[in-house]
Amino acid sequence: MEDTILSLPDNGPIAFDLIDVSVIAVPNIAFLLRTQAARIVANWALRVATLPAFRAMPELALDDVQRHIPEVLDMALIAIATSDPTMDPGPLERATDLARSHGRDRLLDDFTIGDVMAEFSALRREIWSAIWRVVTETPSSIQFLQELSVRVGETFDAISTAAAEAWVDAYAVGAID
Amino acid sequence: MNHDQHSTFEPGMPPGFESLDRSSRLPSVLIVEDQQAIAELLLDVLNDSGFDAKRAPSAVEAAALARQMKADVVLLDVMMPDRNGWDVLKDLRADETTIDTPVIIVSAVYDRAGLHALPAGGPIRFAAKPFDIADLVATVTELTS
Repeated sequence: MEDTILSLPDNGPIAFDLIDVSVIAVPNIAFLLRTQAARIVANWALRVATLPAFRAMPELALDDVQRHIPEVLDMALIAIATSDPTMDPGPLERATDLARSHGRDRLLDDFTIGDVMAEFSALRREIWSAIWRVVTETPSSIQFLQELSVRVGETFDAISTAAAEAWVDAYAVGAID
Repeated sequence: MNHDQHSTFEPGMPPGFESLDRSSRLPSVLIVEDQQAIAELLLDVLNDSGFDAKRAPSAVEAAALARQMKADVVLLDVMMPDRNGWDVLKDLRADETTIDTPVIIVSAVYDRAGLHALPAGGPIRFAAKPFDIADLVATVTELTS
């Protein structure tokens, strides 16, 4: 088994092993990913920093790059872990509310809607990178990964759409002025 | 009072860059990065991981600061507005104090122009942007142990 040890702000030292997914459920993996939140957000920031929009603003502070992303990620992972989002829509609603705030603020930052989409695409990608750090793909894991893929997909589709709609709404009412 | 006896401050050093006795200090990392957010992130992570990380105010001052603070590792971005990272690397290798200092080149795939003519000296590692922050910490740990 491979050990990965990481020390990052807020989380402290983290050690984890690759997981046998035949004995774990989606909610467990989602909560496990929350322990990697600092690493996911850090990698996300490093990824989006290479986007042209961010490279054009080298003076942008880390807080301004991240804005609502750490909170969006936290709520998204809770939403993914929730067994039935229709019975408990709270986490997803909170995540989409934060994504809307992010979309609106990005317009004020002079980012395009494409930049906003790229941010959420990068976050989704970093979540999958985190998943592959702890899950191995085996014949017995296919069903689990399919279920996880649906949860991640539905959650991030909702979040990305909310951010994009908020950007468009703000643009329509002239927030850019 | 003899100010020289116990002082660790070296005149001319920017605040925060005072050099300490190498045997008692944390491994030091000089970050040369023009993007504020990335520099902040690297500072946070490296300082929380047991390193004494500092950011060079500019690429122009980087080589001199690496020499003055006796950096154990230099984290060097390539694409910077005031000075190219490859030129900073040449400066580091041209100075006997920093010729052997390990350098981690932080580079995007499209700006690896200096790879074909690396100057002789200490170890050089590459971290292609975007990289995994944990891998970077592991590389810095390896180079300072």
